[in-house]
Amino acid sequence: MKASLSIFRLLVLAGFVAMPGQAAPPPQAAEVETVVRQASGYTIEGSREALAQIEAFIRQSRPGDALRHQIELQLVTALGGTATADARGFICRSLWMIGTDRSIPVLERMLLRPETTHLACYALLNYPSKTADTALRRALDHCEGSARIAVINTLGDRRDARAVPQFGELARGQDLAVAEAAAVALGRIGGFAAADTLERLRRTAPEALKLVMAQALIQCAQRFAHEGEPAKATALYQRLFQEQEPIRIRQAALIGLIGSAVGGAGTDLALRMVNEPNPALRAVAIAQIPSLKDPNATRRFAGILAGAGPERQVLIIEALSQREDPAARPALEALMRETNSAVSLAAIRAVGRFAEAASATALLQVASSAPSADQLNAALAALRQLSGNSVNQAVVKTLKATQGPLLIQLIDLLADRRAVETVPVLLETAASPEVEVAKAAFRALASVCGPTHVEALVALLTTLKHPGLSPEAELAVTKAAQQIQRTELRTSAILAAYKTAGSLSVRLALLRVLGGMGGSEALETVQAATQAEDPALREAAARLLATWPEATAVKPLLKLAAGTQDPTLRLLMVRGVLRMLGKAENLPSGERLAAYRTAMELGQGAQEKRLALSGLAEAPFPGALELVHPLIGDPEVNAEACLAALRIARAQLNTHKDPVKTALDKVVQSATDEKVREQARELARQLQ
Amino acid sequence: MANPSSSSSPRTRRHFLRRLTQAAAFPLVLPASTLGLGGAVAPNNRIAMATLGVGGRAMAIIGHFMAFPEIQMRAVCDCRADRLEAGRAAVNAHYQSQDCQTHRDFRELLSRPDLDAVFIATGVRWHGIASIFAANAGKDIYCEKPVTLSLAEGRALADTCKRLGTVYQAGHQRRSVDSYRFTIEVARRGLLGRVRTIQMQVWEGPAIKPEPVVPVPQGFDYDVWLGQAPWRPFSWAHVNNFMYFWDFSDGVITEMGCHYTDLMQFGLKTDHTGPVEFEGKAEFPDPKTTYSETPLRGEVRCRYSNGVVGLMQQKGRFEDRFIRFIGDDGWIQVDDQTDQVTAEPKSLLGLRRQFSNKGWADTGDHIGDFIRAIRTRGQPVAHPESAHRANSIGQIMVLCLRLGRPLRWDPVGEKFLGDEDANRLRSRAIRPPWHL
Repeated sequence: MKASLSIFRLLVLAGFVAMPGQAAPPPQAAEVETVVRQASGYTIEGSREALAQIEAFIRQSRPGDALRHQIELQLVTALGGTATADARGFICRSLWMIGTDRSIPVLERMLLRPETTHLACYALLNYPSKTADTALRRALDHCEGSARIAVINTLGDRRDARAVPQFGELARGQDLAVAEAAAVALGRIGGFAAADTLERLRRTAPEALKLVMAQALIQCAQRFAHEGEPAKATALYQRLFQEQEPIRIRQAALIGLIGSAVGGAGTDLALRMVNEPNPALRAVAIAQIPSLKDPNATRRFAGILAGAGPERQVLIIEALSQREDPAARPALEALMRETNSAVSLAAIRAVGRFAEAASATALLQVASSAPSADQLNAALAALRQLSGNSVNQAVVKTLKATQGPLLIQLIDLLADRRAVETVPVLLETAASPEVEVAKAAFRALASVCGPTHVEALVALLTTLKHPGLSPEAELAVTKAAQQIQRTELRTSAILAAYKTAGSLSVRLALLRVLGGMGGSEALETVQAATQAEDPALREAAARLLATWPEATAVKPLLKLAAGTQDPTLRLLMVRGVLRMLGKAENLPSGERLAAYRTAMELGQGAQEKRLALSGLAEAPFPGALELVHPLIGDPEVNAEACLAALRIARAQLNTHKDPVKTALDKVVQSATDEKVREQARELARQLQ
Repeated sequence: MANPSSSSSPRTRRHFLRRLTQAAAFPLVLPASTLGLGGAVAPNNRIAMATLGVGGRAMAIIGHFMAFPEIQMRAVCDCRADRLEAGRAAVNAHYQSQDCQTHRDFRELLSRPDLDAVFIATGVRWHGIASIFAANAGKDIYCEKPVTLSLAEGRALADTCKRLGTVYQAGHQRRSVDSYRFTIEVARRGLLGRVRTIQMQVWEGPAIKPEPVVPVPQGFDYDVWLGQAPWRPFSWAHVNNFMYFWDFSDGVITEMGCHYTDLMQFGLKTDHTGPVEFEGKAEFPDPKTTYSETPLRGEVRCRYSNGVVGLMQQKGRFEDRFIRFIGDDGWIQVDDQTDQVTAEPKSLLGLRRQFSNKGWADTGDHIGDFIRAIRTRGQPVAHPESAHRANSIGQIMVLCLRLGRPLRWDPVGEKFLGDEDANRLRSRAIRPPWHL
């Protein structure tokens, strides 16, 4: 542990500076005295500087060392002096952590004043020595009401067994609030004496206190069980489980009895309680099944499941599933096809939670013959959770014997399970004459295929029997190919198929796939296709270039845009160029400038102008302002142009002063928004 | 009184029906008498509830409770008259009735035998204590986070609920949110390889300036508002920003970070234990000019005994918060603000078949799980032990930062090893008349 801690500390402390106060030399006594004196005047409206210094001193000190002693001494002096109420609060919060017997006398005096009792208790709560208990017990007799309750609570939290007799007296007193606090504190102290006192008091206690005392007794019993005294715990729980006790107490006692029982006795009791007529007790008993330590508990409850009736079955199934013991699985599987749908659903979900491959066949049978969508969906959800390759084989086996909607759901299931080993079956299924089945298979292939499957997928894409399958098939090829790391290898199978493809539809499909890939070879191929004889192929290629994922398409696109006679296509390509340029930070600024200029000449609509302005503002480069300048004052895009100019001006304030000055002047003249004008003026001032 | 279900929107009705057919098929076969700890039967077989604390958080959530026809919100309670009235109005508006009752004293509310369960959203200084009072009164509980103010309070909460069989769901609702469940599933199924680190980020804390002490406003029961905290004069500075003062909270690392430590625990399947070592550093507000106490920025790591490290960073903007599981073979992250899941390798994202448009702000499914647990008396997904352990991690992180030194923690005995100071800070003296 020590070695690992050192490594951990090194790891964590790398790059860290020390905490305030850690590295500083320890303060001298006089410094502590001065700071505490300053802190004595603290109010919550003022500076906390002195308080923070005391906290730093405390961090520097350790229990028993001279500095800690000095700090406590000064705090005690302040408490006994003229410290403000807010300062006293701070001091008591400090003593909470560092106080020793030295500060008990002053705190004891505070205990006796109602306005400071709680603060003193705050400090004393965790004092290590028994002297604090003695002081608190002494104070009990001299305070009353709320102050007395504070002292009782503190002694209770400190588990001071010597306070039990006094608490016994207080719990039978006239002040009900004090009596209740004493009873609660007895429960917290625990032990035989406290429990005995509570039991005796309860016989004659007012009704208002009987329940509080019973709850305190339950707490005593819980503590017996935690502290290795199960016999005492059981005896007390049994007395509290009597029929005359309130149902809440009986429930708590039952929980305790089952939980503290040794060996199989807890299971025996819980099993008996399954047939208890009172449903509240019955439900609580069943709810204890997950925490039973008895190794035979699962088997025994599974054994009664079949004959338990729907209400109990649902509860027991839920409890057994939370127990996470696979021994319950056969019994739960048997209930998956119950006619009562609540029972059936509970069982299916529980089997899913066990996630065991052995349940696959049973779940597939349920899925194949499910009487309702709920059961089918529950079975499929359970199958998704099962682990192991044998599950996928079982699904494939069922899939081969299935038709209709379930077949598609089983294909989806294989996709969800990322069943890579079922790719051959999915490839076969993708060739199915049923379009919806084939589509599902392609969707699954898109999820599970990787680089090694690209060729097979391309082969399928080039031999599709139904044109409606093309989108799914293209997606599957794209997803698989995109997983190939090296760009030049990513498209090789697709390009090879493209070169030999006969039909137009196949060439178009392959071209679309290439469009999602990028890379120089793919670009060349698509570029070449823009010159193809077939007009459909030409247009498709041009459209693909317009959405090309890389800025390498800018030049060919601009050339095409300049040459085309189709105005719609031209606009599409110009917008594509402008989008690419907005992200083309690696393109030399001269090339970018020229490309922007050409694109803005080819496309002069408002949308193209806005696209250009957006790209220029996002990634300013030398010359960008030249392009923006003519658009300032343009009624279609004046606002956008002014904002773009401001943004570029900010980025180039120190590098391109003249064009920036010219642009800012024009913004001041043209902007309609006063805030924009003011920003332009401010930037212009900075130029000077 | 109008039928509450008739006022549900189609969406909420669908939501309910889906829950009914998925997880909560149980009510169809269970007798109504299994409702509530005392076996009390709620009229027309619904779970009768009340809300304790109707501030901003409660008002954001209360509608999700009332969207379930199985729940009837019958009463609200708050120590601030304006909030109490706003809460009452919201409930009545939902049910199109005037039946919602109001209580200034939550003990009076808890003594009502016609209530089965409570929703607690009071601020952390009250969460644990009000929960324990509610459990003792026989109520089931849905409680907002952070669930307790001290380590000892958390242990008392878990023990009390276990002892009394209370169904308690912590407001760690991300356990029931699709994006986070998917993330947890990826981590648990080993798809990241061996998980080594969980990185969590919460926002930088503000520095609250002092404000004048002023008279307590009319209708504001300040004594109850303070709850367990030592008395201090009234100032809006701490009343409006209580989560940045040690008396009332542990700051952002627990207030928000508890969601992430909870997800870390959930993903690692360590709901009944926790890390063993903590170390970090933080920057605290300038004490000369600032009233608030909790860290502004910081970084703290915890390490489990198997070597897995949880890294909590307090930095950046509110919108930048996230949790990321990092393994040998990849990572997966949920951005809390957008509910967006990202991962490396990206192919992991393809495993996500079910997409829900409900992010963390929709607590519907978490409340549905609470209802299921009430019906079966089983454990809800964010049960008290899990909530206490998750919150403990944040509490210990904060103690580590306050003390300015590494801490070693024994998660079995729930005590610090070799650090007496830290051990003393595990519990706080609660101001009377309140107690655990």
